[in-house]
Amino acid sequence: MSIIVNVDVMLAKRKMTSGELAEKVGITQANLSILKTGKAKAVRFSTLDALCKALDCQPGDILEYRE
Amino acid sequence: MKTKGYRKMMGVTIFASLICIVSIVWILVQSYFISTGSGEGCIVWHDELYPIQAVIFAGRLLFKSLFYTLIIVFLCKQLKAIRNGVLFPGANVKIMYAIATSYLIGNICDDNAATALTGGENAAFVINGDTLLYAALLVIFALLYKVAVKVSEENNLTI
Repeated sequence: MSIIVNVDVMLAKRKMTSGELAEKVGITQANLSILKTGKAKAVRFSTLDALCKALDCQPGDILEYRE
Repeated sequence: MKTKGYRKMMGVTIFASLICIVSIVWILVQSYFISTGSGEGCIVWHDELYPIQAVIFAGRLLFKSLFYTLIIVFLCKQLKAIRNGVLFPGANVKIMYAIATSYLIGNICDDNAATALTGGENAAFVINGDTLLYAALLVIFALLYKVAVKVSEENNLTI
C-alpha cells in the first residue's frame, strides 16, 4: 500500500512512548503496533482524531502518500 | 464469550454432533450387515458388476461417514473460534468445501446403492436433482463464509 503511517516519527518528535500514546488514544498497544507497521487496512476517523489530539498534529503529519 | 447466543450454539452443536455420531454408527453397522449378510436387502455380488458395486459400496460408506465427521469437525472448530473471539475462522472454509464434496459423492453413491448393490442388470445410473441442489447450496454457503472471513479479518485490522 502506498499510504505510509508516520506515527513513529511523530512519537519521536513528541518524545512520547507507544504505551503513553496507546493509553491517550484509547487503543491497545497491539493495535498501535498494527498501525505503526503498516498492517492496518483502515483507520477510523475517531482514532485519527484521537491520534491528532494526543500528538498535537494534523492528519497529514501522521499519514503520507508515496508512489 | 459466554453469551446466551454462545450457549444456544453450544446446545445446537452438541445436538447436531450426536445426530452425526448416530448416523456414522448407523452407516457402519448397516454397511457391515449388507456386505456380510445374505438375506433380503444385502449385496448380491456379481462378477461383471463387481467394480461398480465395490465403488458404490465403498463410496457410500467412506463419503457419508466423512460428511458427518466433517460436520462435527466444522462445528467444534466454530465453537472453539467463537470462544477465542473469532466469528469466522478461515480454516472452516476448506472444511465447508470438503463437506459439499463429500455430500455430493456420498449421496450420488447412496442414490445408486439400492439398484447397484442388488445387481439389477437394467439398473441405470441416477443423479438426483436435490443432491446437486444441496451440494450447490453448500458451496454457495462456503463462498459466503469465505467473504465473511475476509470482511472479519479486515474489520480486525481496522484501528
